[in-house]
Amino acid sequence: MTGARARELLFGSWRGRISLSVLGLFIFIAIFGGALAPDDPYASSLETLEPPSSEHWLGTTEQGSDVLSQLLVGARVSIVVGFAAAIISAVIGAAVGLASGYFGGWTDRILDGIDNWFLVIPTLPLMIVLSALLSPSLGVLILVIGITSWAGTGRIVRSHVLTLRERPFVERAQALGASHWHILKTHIFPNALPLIFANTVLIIAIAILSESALAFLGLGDPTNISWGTMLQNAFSSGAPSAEAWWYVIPPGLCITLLVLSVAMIGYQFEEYVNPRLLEQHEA
Amino acid sequence: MSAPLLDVSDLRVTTRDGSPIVDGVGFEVRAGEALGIAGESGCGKTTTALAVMRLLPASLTQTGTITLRPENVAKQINVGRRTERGMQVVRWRHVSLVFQGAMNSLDPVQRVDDQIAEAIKLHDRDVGKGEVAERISELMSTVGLTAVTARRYPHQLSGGQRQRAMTALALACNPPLVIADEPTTALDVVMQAQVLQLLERLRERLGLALILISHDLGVLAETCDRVAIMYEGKIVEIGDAGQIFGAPEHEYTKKLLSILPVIGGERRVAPASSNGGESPLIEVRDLSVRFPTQAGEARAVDGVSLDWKRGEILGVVGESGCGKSTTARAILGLVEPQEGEVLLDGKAAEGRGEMRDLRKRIQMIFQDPYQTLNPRHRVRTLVAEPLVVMGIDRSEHEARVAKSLNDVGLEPERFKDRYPHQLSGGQRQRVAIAASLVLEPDGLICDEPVSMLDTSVRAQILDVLCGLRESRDLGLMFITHDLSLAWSLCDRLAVMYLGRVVEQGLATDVIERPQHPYTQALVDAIPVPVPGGGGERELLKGELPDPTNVPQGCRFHPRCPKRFGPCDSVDPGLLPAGAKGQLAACLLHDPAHAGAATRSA
Repeated sequence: MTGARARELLFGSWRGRISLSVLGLFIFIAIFGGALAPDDPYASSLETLEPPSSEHWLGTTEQGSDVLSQLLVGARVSIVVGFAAAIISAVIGAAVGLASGYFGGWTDRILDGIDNWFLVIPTLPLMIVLSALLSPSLGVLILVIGITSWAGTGRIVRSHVLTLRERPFVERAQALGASHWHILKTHIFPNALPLIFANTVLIIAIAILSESALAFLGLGDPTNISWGTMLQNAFSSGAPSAEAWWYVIPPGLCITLLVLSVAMIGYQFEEYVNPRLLEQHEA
Repeated sequence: MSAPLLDVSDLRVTTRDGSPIVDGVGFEVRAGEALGIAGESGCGKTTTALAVMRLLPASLTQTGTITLRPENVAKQINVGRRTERGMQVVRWRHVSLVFQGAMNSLDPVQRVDDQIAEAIKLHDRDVGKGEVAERISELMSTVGLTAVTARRYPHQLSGGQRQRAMTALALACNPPLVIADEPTTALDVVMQAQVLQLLERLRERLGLALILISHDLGVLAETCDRVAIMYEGKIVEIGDAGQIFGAPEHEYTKKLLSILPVIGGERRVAPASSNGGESPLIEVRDLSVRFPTQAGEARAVDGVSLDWKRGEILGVVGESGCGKSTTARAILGLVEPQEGEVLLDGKAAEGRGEMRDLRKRIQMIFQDPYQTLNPRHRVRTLVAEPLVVMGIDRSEHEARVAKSLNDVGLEPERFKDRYPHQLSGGQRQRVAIAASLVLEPDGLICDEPVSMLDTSVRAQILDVLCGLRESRDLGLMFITHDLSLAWSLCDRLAVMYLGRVVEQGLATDVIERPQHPYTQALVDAIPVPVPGGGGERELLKGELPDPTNVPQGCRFHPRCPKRFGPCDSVDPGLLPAGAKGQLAACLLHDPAHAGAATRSA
């Protein structure tokens, strides 16, 4: 039933279907973008900041490169960073939340303290400092975003585990003399999984935005084109004042669409998770 | 004869897909009359009550006519035709509802008296502040609460006080008809009797008409003039309480009544064949469990000693909060006792190995079958879990799971791949029992195993449990607050009060000839499925004291009707009293003090 319900929420509503198609399209571009690109995205030419034409559908950059090609190639970084950082964040958040909620006591006090610290610290400055300290590369970017965005997951998982821990089936397992590992593995984790998943999907959106923000601030991976670096180049070359809208709007729009579709899928999952949470509170 | 106060005819409630929940129900309630509606869960009794107030969710369609004729209103009120706005006037002024579960029906962030004031002000805008306060203090004294209690928040009240507050809330606008939906279900016997007595008095004093909804026929027999029995959305039988309980006509009514254990009637189980002389399976010695709380240390279990023999059904009874569940949890090492020990076959269960052995041989089943099964696992995984925990070879799992399921009357082929939500309440409890049996234990601790189940399902589960005693010589420790059930099922009984065993002995002796005043009070509070069976009985006053503040001397003395001189200073131990092997912790049985009792009396 649970799987069917998730499917229904994703495929049974227009919101779910549209979001999934948009995300699917972007993933397709991320995989095949290089092959689809009409030009070499790195190639410079003398045709700088040309408006869209039949030759360059989305015009050219200040270096004379093809905007459309950059846009297609740049999708990969956004998606890879988004998903990889979200996975790192989910793993840390779930581990901290599970341990903190299940073991309680000092474990909880310490882990929850760390969690609180990460929650209140302004994320963007921390990311900026971290990526400035470490030399910019794709891996560093993923790591930095991952370790600065897990706190919310940790907090939500912890409070859910606190209620799960008091459920009678956990007590029953304890009465059997089951180990902590057994209880966590068979009872706590599977029941917390939908929540972790729904939360992770929302973090993908945040991670994509963070990557764009860092790249826009010049802290992205200089060897890779991403939508964020495109925006940064556009701004530093004065594209907006030159009214070169074709250089600014496409990457901006792509970021918006991708984040929106991922967030929508996340909200669909939340709808799936939340009624269950309500049920448990009532009981 | 005047027209009835409430007239319901051909009431139908259907879901969106057209399946009926209430299927053509009709009844009437006269002013001042008490009508009981009984039936199992899902029979539509609560839906009927909500339909009278038109409080059903929008997804349900309600047809039929419901007419209210309150004395002080010139025109009769047609509930079905009223607008939503019009119904808001009717609700609470002409008919009010005591919701199921007083715990959740009071707003936790508002003081009790403010909630009552809200109800009064909603219906009478012109009422002055002083008048509201006067009305509230009147209501509070009607339901037996003090002004101090009224200023509290719901979480500061005990279960019984909350139920009283809910009742006061229902009476706020002086309605001629009150519907009480399972008003006593979550309460234990003493509290239940107190609430029933309250309802009875309110009827007498205020001339209230009452619709009492309950799955407990005993409760209805005592309070109601007429009783309706519902089954699958229909009233199968309705009549005077005397006729329903004395000469039921419908098969279903007969079945419901036959399942009900009546003290002095026929016992479900023959007493254990072998008595005495046998070595105990589990011995509990001077067990104490204390919990730190904000108010101080709570003495949940305070020096309990028990013997649980092999193949014996040992009942542990008492009000909620008396420490019976904590004792069970301490036996299995789920809570750490501060003092005392648990012996398995005469050996202390201390080390890891012994504890593991104990947990293999003693299993536990819990009250709520909806909660004890992990919703994400299939039946076979659930039943096999103890095997996994105990590290038993995988190749054995399937056969043992199948055997266990067979033992509880579930066909393995049909049920092993289902998830808990695909099972009924009774089937879930069977799965829970099967999971406890898979390790072939010697003893099963059952914590209120049937209190959440319907009467007929309850009988099936008890049959399964008792059958296991016969076929496997399985010992059962039966924790319950239901004394009639304990009487009909248990070999021996221990009565607990405030963390201590106050009486023990053969179940028949203890219930039929109680030697401790507390046991006597519990027995007196049992609702009897005979109309007016409660009679004029003396009920225990007050509630179980706070375990952080155990009274000096005999812990029962502040509530005891028979207390005398030394009771507030001497803490009595268990003394022989009554029949052979019967023990009671009461100074009345202490030769050194009993003389004083007769003298002062």
